[in-house]
Amino acid sequence: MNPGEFVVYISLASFAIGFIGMVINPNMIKKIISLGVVETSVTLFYVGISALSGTVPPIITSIPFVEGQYADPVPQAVIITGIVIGFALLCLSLVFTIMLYNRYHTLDVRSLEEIFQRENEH
Amino acid sequence: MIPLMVLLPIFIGTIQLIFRKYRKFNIAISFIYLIFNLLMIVHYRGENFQYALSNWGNLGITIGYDQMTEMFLIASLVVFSAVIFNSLSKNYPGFFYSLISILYGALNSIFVSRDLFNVFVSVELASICVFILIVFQKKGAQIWASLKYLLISSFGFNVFLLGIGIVYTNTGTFSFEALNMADEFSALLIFGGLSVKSGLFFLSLWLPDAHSKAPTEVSAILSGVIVKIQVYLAIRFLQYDSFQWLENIYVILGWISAIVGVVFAINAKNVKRILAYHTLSQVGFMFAVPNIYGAEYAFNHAIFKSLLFIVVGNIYERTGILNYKEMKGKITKIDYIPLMIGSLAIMGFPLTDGYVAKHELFIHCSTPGFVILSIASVGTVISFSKFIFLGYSKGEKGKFIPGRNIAYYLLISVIFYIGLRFFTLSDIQVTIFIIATGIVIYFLVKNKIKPLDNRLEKLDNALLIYISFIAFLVTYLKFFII
Repeated sequence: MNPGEFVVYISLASFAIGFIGMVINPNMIKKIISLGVVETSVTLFYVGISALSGTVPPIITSIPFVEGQYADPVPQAVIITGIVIGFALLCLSLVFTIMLYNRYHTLDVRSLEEIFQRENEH
Repeated sequence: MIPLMVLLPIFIGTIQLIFRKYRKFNIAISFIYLIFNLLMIVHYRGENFQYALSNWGNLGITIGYDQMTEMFLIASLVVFSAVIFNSLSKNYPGFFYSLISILYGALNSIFVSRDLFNVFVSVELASICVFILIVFQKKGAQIWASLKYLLISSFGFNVFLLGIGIVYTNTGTFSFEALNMADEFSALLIFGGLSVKSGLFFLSLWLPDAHSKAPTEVSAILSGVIVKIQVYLAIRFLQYDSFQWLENIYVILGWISAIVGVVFAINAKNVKRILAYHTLSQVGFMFAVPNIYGAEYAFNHAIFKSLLFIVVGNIYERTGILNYKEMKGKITKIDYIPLMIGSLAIMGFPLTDGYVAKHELFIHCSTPGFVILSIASVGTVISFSKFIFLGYSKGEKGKFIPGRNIAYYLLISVIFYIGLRFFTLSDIQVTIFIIATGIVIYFLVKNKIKPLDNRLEKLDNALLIYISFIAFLVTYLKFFII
């Protein structure tokens, strides 16, 4: 199997694992870490698709240019922005969680939902 | 010059962030980009072009301008101007204005760019601004609403990112034109990623909480423009070949959302929740006719929905009441008139822009679609009769607030300008029949209103519904299309 393809399948599997983590963990911090797993696996997916054409770094070493199994630099270049955005989102969600914890002293999603349900009714 | 429409607001937003202590200076420089964008929209009126920035070939960011772009740019300009005028009298810090500026730049970037990855970055930039704007007053419920929105929507946008990765492997470029050659599975992931923010019922169930808990101005922006990003992108992507198979799914999702959203809205008592459920329902109308007419409806919806949210928010801030029954007798005349005009527009009353937009929708949809949208319209009338029959009380004296009044006049004049300019008499009997039926049913069910269970809006349930929708799409693609 092409190494790129292998990485793509691994990344899709970890995407699914991250999603399952987001659903089954009632703890807010664990949910956010699972979201981090999802984001990292998307980054890995982009690394995988850039390796589909080869794994040699796309740097020309000798002047008569030799056709080789070069990796595609574009997906790697664009996903850097994706990493930054994922970082910002994770930070923001952790800040919100800290604010909630300071007020309600719980990280459990079910008890948080209950608290706000009661607030809604009043 | 088009990139300046994006860069100037973001640049000014950065300056505002540095000088955030000087509130009046911040408000003053906000008008620079509003006026500049107005001039640009007038300058490029009716033009249709597309070009790539710099010399990167098909890897460069493509920028385009056409009728649909123009409509959404005008909608966001009008809504943002109204929001800034309305916020003048309130003591919001400079930080608020800086986030609004950056958000405005990001929105313009989404509407003018024709590049998938650029769209992703701009949408996420806009979303981060929105997450912070929702928690602006630091109430617990706001933080929870925003956190829920953040978790669901950033998961959804990772799905979108997978989709555009597949488009790149298929075609070697991120430009929108690549969607003509990409395979159906990438279209599925892209649409699935967008749908989580689109405001369709069952897919974006974070919406009623976020829209109803946010501060007045932010609610108006959320319902007026942020929801329209996804409507705009979904309608634009449908023009490309790989999305063709999704058209029926769009329409059916639109029908479901139009009906279910209105049922929840009729049964709600909290005024802001009523408006939020109506956003779900009205987005259904737009998806039911996913072409330029749906986009026109989105434009008109942006205007009257932001007017309604601003008025209701102002009443709430003055009286502290959210239950519509308790509002009776506490509404001043200056608040009641825009509330009534907004409600009439969303019902589709003749002479308002809602009539024009709904008329166009009804002409251009199929027969079952016409029946379903008519039923949803009757529901809209039932639900907005709650506002219409509140009446104003003469004893209640409000303060004279110039900024707020300018915001009202601005939005009302757009409603009447479009309503009068494109008014036609054909099919007026259908509209009158719908409105009359709705009002009669309202008086029959008026005392039986009881809020429905919002169990579906819980975080885990919303995530599970979303992933089962994607699983359904995969099954449909596997067995019926390929």
